[in-house]
Amino acid sequence: MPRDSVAPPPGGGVGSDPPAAASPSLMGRLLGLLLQGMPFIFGIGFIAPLITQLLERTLPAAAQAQWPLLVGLAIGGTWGAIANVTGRWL
Amino acid sequence: MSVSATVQERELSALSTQELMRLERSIADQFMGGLPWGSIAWAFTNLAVWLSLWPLTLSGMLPLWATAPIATLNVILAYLPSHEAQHRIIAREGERHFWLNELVGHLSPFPMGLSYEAARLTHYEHHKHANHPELDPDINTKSDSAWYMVAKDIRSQLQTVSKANTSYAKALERLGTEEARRAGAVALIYALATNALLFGFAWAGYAMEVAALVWLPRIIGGVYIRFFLSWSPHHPAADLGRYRDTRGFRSRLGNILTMGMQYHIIHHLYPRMPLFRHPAAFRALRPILVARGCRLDGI
Repeated sequence: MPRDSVAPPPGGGVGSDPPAAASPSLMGRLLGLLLQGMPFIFGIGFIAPLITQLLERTLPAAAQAQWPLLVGLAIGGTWGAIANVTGRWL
Repeated sequence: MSVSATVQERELSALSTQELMRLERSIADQFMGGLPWGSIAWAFTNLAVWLSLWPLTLSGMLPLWATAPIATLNVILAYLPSHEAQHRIIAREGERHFWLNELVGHLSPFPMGLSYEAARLTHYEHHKHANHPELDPDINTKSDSAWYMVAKDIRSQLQTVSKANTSYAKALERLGTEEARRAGAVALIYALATNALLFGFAWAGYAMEVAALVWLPRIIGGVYIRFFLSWSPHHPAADLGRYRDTRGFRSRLGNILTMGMQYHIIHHLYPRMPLFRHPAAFRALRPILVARGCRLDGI
């Protein structure tokens, strides 16, 4: 079933690359890095704006302020970073 | 048990294994074939409803409290039409309506973000190795009780890479074919595209909207799908073999709310039989299933 995060591609390669022991292409290495950092990216990319928007909608006074964005980035970034290290969201 | 059923079963006990198989196939044949228009209409209606939620929700015409349950229902309903296509029930390769089969297969699971080819290949592995502790990609749902299954599933979803995803990736890797590698790559693109969609809309100021349209429905709908489409029909997932790896069961929710899964045993015996014919086929085949020692829990 699909999730927010993704499992490594079968064969460890990209597209039709064979799953050989040969060193991965630059594209493969970049993709590997992207996948490894996905929980952190998810924290910044989705959780941060979600928290920001929740704060702005629940606290009308915060709608024009900068702090909801900072709080969102702090929580989303920290949460994502911890998930990246521990392999778990909770 | 009725008298006629008892007589039938007595008659069946006199048949050899081969005769029983011939009888089983001749009964099953009556329920095979034809275009499953119900599943086709289901696929496109569900997709149309889900797609229409986007402008309605993003424009604020539909409140989030209404969007989230409808989108969750869309996710729950997205899998089975594609499942019909995975088994080429609409049409086989080379047949006139094969394009329709593939269209349904690819489009219907869109609300779940599921790649059709990866789903098809890993689902075939599930059929080949149902309940096998290492080879069945769906074995992760095996649990002693319903509540334990739900708790275990939620725990798995809290992992950054769920056990289910790892298990599907391993199944494709085990297949090792070019088709499997391509399916894995497409599944990866789907997952990355989903995240890109979430991030894009979220930073454009629609985080809560995409949470209601995509994120929450996939989490909640995913639990429902794995519970009723995987755990329930295979519980206790202890036996292997044609007549023992799947069960019939009676759910308190009934057949519609379990999306026909009470009769999933028929699907594992005859994977190309349309879903809507399973109840009637089950009733016709029941005495044979009893004679074969199938597990029929209350049904």
